Amino acid sequence: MNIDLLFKIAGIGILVSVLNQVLTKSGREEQAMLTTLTGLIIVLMIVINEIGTLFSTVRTVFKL
Amino acid sequence: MDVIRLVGFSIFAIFLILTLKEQRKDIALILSIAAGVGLLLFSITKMSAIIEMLDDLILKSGINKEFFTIILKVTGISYIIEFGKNICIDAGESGVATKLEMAGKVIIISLSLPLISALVNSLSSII
Repeated sequence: MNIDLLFKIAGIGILVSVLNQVLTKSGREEQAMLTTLTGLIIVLMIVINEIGTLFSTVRTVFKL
Repeated sequence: MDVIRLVGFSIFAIFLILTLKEQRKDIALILSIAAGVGLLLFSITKMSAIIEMLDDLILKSGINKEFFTIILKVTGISYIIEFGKNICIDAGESGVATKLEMAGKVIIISLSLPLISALVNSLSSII
């Protein structure tokens, strides 16, 4: 239950949304789309590690 | 003071999710998944002590240990299935959630077949 993870994900989300707006206003739609995709992939990589630890913990605790 | 930490964690996660929800719905969903994983991880690591105690009790009472293992496995499967189902519902895919729940029930029943057959055997020996 570490709160740093939430901070990290929310920070990436806010950064991506700001970058998206700036790039869209200056007329670079493709780069805005790529930024969104990159942010999503980074966040997914973080969360997938956590889900992996959750599953391995459940496996060891419940002897699955 | 784990309770206060838990509630604070949840409220903080809700604040962050509400902030992000208007701009980026996908990252808000992932944030809620991360919060759920954190909370579940906390409760399951606490649960291991309870399971150890129950294991000890079962060992002392002389009940067949395989049955307890089956019950434990069913509990773990239902926790994981519930976790996945809630993620599906949060993402707005209730159809996938229903099928996941059904698959979990089938897995649980197929896992508890030895229990049912043992029950039927003991009943037939009584009759």
